[in-house]
Amino acid sequence: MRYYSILIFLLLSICQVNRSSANDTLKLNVEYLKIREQAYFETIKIKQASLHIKAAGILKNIGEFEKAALLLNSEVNANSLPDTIKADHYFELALLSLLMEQPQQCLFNLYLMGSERSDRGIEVKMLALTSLKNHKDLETIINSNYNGNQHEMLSEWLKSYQTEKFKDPLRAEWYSTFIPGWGQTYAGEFGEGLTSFALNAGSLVFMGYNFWVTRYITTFTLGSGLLEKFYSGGRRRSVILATEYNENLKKDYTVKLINILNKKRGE
Amino acid sequence: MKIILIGLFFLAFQVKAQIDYKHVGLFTKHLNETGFATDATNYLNGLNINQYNQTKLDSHNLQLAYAYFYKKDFETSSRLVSELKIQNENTYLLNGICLLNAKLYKEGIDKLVKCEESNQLGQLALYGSRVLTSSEIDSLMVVSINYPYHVKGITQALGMLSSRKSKSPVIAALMSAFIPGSGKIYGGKIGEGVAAFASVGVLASATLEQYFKGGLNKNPQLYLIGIPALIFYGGNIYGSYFSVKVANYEFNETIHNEVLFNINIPFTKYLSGK
Repeated sequence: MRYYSILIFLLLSICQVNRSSANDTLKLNVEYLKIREQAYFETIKIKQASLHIKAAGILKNIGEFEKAALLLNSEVNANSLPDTIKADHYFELALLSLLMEQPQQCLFNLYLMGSERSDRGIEVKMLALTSLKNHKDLETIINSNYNGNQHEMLSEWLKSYQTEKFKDPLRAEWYSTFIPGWGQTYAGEFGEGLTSFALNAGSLVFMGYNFWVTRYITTFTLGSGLLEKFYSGGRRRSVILATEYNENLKKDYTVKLINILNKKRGE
Repeated sequence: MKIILIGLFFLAFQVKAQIDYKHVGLFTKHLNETGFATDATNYLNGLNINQYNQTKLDSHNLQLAYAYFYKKDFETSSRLVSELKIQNENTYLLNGICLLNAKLYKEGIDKLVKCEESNQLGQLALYGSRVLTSSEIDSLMVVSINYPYHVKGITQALGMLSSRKSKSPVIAALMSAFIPGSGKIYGGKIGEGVAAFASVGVLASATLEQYFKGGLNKNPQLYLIGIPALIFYGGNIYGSYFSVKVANYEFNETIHNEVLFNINIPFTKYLSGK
């Protein structure tokens, strides 16, 4: 959640949009409705589309990404529009897709927009590619669109991203299969790993003791049931932890990229 | 002459206001039908209605009621329609549908009987409100010729309702007290019943083993297993009672939704056609 809010904030900053404060939300809502009303009675299609794009932009600032995407998809027929407005329309949709964590959809919208023609399009494309861990395309974009100090910073960022060790969820599962708790430790959660190991060991001791004193029903029903729960639960948990670790790492790199791009804009 | 001019000016002002409001109506209708009902309510609530006369205020409230209907806030919609000064077939119909959606069947039917006999939507809604006898339902089949698919849907739902015997939560609890899990099976949840039987069975057999092999004294495992076993046993009795209650509620809810689905679609079509 923490990463998500940071990301949203930074993503909006990269598109030169100021995220509204809670006090402004009401005002922006009124403005949005006024623009939509104006658009509904507008007879010239191009003007109407521009107004809808503007209204979607306001919704984006309020944080209503799904509603903004619905508005653009239902009200604007992009095929009948001139190239410049069509590009704005698809760029807005691309940005919304990125904010809704749909990088593939974002790339598709950027393709329809013709992202190579604008700096902002290229930046958003880089963010989507970062989310998809597509290093090859990122390298091509950095080499063909940036030079000097920026190129150096971005190349360094890409190199570190390429060499970063992500956790393999399958490997985490295998580790937990051999030694309960090892998978969680591998995924960076030592405490959880230790707890999982202790619970599994405790179940085994419980089973062993009852077997020793010939209480076989307890051993093979309750004991084995507990062990199965802790063992299989631990395996599943290690996969979840490894996936979460990777997601957080990916978001870390996205934040770093946004900071580099913002620095470039500041200069 | 002056009086005529003032009169004409006043008339022109009124006509302009009516045209302006027609725009509001068109825009909110568009918002409602394109899935932006919340925006429609925000828009209408944001208008300055201090200058409105009674007729215009009524139109405004009717628009607002429709917007709340699309927003699925049926209580507010019904309240707004009830407050209108002029009541006609359409307002009774909207109010009746809202009340049915809000599960206030009796109040809904009171509104819907005020619709004209020829109004097929009113008839369809009456049909779905479960108060008609089978002969009345047969006669309505003839009336509701425009909505045969929805009539069929409601007939099926009501058929399911009449063929199902309501189950008693107390019987389920008693059954589970004798054989753990049997109450849940009685309530229609076979998987849950088998799982409850297995878990209580395992705990109970382990407790008995501990008791026979280890005795009551100096045997902490007996209490370690026995107390959870008792909790599971009691929990299962309560769970069976509760799950039959939930199953009854879920069944009624399914029928309610099926009936409302078959009423709301023709009603929404009717609204879009207006």
